[in-house]
Amino acid sequence: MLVTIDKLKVGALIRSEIKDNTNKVVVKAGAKLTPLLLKRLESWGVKSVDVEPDREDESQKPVVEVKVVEKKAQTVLDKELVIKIAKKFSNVREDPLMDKIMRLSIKHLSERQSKIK
Amino acid sequence: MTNDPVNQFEYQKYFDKLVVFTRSLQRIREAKSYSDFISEIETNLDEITPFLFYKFYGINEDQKSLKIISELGPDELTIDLNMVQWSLSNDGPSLIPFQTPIDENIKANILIPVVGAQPFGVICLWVDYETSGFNIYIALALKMLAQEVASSFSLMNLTNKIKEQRDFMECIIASVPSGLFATKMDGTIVSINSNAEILFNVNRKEVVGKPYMEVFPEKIASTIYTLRINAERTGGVSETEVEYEFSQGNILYLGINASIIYSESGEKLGYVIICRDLAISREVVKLRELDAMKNDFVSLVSHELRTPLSSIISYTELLLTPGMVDSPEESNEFLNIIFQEGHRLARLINDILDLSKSESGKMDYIFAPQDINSIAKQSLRSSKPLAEKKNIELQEVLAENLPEVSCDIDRIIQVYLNVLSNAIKFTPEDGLIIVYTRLVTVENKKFIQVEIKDNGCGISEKDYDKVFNKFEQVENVESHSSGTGLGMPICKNIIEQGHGGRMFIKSELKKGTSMFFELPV
Amino acid sequence: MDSFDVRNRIEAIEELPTLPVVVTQILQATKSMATNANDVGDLISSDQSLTVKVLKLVNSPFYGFPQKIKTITHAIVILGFSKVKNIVLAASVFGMVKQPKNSTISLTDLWEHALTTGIVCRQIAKHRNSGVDIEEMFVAGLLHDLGKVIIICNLPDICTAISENVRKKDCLFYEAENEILNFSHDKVGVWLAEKWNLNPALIEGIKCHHDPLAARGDKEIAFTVHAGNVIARALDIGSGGDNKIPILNAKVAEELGLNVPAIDKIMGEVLIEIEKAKDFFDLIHSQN
Repeated sequence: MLVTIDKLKVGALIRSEIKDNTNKVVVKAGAKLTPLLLKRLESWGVKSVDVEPDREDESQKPVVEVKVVEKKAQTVLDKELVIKIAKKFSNVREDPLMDKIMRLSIKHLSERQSKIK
Repeated sequence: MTNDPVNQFEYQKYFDKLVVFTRSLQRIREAKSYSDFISEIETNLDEITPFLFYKFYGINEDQKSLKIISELGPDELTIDLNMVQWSLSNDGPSLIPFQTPIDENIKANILIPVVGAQPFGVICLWVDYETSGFNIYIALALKMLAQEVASSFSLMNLTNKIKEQRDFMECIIASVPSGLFATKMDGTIVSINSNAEILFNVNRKEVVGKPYMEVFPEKIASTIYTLRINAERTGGVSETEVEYEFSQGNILYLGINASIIYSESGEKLGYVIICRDLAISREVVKLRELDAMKNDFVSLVSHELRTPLSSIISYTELLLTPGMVDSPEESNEFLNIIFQEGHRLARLINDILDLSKSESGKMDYIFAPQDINSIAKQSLRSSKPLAEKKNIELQEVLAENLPEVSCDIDRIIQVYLNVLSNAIKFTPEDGLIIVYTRLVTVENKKFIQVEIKDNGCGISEKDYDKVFNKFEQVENVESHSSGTGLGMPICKNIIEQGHGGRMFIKSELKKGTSMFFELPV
Repeated sequence: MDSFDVRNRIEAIEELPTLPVVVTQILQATKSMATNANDVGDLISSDQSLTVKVLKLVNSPFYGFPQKIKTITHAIVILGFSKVKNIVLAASVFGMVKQPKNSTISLTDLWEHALTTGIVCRQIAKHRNSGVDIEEMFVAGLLHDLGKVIIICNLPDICTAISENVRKKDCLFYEAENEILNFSHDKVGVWLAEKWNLNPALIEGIKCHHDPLAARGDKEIAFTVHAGNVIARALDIGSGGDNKIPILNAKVAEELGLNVPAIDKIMGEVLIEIEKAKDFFDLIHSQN
């Protein structure tokens, strides 16, 4: 089931693999959500992830299903952006300031994109 | 265009104008008062461009409302708030022609934003020209003016903030209920509050900037000096209590506390010294003294009581130990000593009780009118055997027709006997003791005075007080004391506390002593 | 190839872009204090298409004046000589050259990047609040990549070589240029700017935008353009001819007070300003 990033629990099992726009798998199915992974997903602008449900979460399923389509599209688009920016900054990642600028760039451009939508 | 000689001339003219203008802008910075400041702004504005009216709008803290800082024009002339806000975001002056002229002459507004670290406001001019009159020189000059005004405002704000802070600090110092002053590390006084001024009777203007050693009373200065040394040693605070004569006869007990003032970076800046009136009243001081005295008394008494008691115990022990007594005579002697010491103990205990009663005013007196002379005679008769032992002659010089005195006869006899036995003690063999009675007037009051004069060795003046002190027995070469040492103090209490009279000594060394006591009529 | 050769080739180009006469005149006029609004207004009005462009831009939300500005002279007195001068420059420069066929780099992208850089520089200057003319910073940012325009339009073979290099090495245009030519577009831009008689401090700023610490005299413009360039690229608007981003020099960032929170704030504000400057972007698209 799809869970929004703010409701993700550490330890949750990721059910479907997450691919980038070149169809490369960046997170495998069955991967466990570690704190580090959660952080990465957040900084990539990922909005929701398909995880194995908890027993208690079963009841939420129907509500989440309705939102599935929108959420999926958003994930892919954001990822595209993230990867594009990451590529742009690939030669300068070691510079601490440039690394931070990259994150700012992703942040602002994602916000802008979602406003356009 | 710059090759055009006419224009070059124009350019030079404006350049010179700008130089002159820069100088006149200085007057804004140097204005001594707020009103001077405003009028300099107006003068400078006028130099740049002629205008009909002007209003200097200040923007309030909320950024949404305006106040008028100064103006020269009718109330009906106003500016839209959103125009003002736009001007603040535009970083230079603007001339805004009116869509429809307000009247014949007023054709445009000039808005000059005044912005420093924060937006201060907008100067608005109403002018009688439109676009052709507005050139780059005017725009530049107005911008420079705005910058000058903005930095003056910033400076004013800063100065006000500093002043506010300083005023606040001064209020804190002033409201501290103790005397407070601060010095630099070298002792120079930096600041002093009014409580301290009053306490040490100094004037702030005279002491600030001077070393405290010079201007404070010596006792205080030296106390502070010691405190400072201690504080430096311990690295923090040191305090002490000191007695300070605030004014004639007015003694204060001050708690003085010195702390080192450290800067944020840990550097020693100076000292702050706080002086608290501990508000210890005289009664409390007296109580403290009495308390001390009481402790002394208790230890004195136990000592006095122990002496006879230990004799009694020692001799009794001897008598009980077989083989210690050599003869019946010896055992009799021991028993005598025990007997005497026992009596002494009894007398002592009586006297202590008497003293206690007499001091606390709990002694029971039975007052009745008495003839002092007959009491004198009676006492002399009782003392005769004692005097005869030393071959001392007793005489009496008693005034006639003395009025009767209300007194407790037994107690007065006690006094007579005590004094007489003292006199006999301190008079050598073949001496003379005379008892006088007379009527005296002291401060319009009548007293009967009894003088018992001897020609003994005398008591030096410095020892007068000792006579009446508990347990203190004056050095006496001649006699061996069998008294309790409490006699005189008890007598003094009887006369003074019990009868409202007076008891005192006059004496001359080697010539003799006179003991006086007076009873009110 | 050495710079002397390239310069000669550039000088030899007949169609080296020149500023329209009227623009040169306007730039000249605004240097004199005696110039009044009517003088400049007349100059602009003499060029019909320029007038149309300028009137559109002065009413842009980018300048935010609460009333409609109807005439050029009004624009000059309301917005000020500096802003109008810059509007004239921008309006002229965007259509200055035509995109050559088979060019590997899009002029539209380049101008978008230039405009963005101008807006960023202006925003940085606003934050600095150091009395520097924010409109000058705008122009400096706008014109910093002038040299690239020349290379694209007038030295197409060199441009192709550079682009190849960029693709192969996946590096900055600037780095590729240096490899092939042993110098770069900043110098080319300087020559052009000197020809156009632009302000010397501005020229120094353009010259040193890749190497800001080497700037002579007042380094403020050079520093600002350098930082503006980096941030504009981080905002991914337009293109500088490559897919990479140069490093923001740490000393420059410190001097300009550009710590992370400041950059964050500036980015947000710039994106808003870019929305307001839609008229400018439209102009770019209509001209290219």
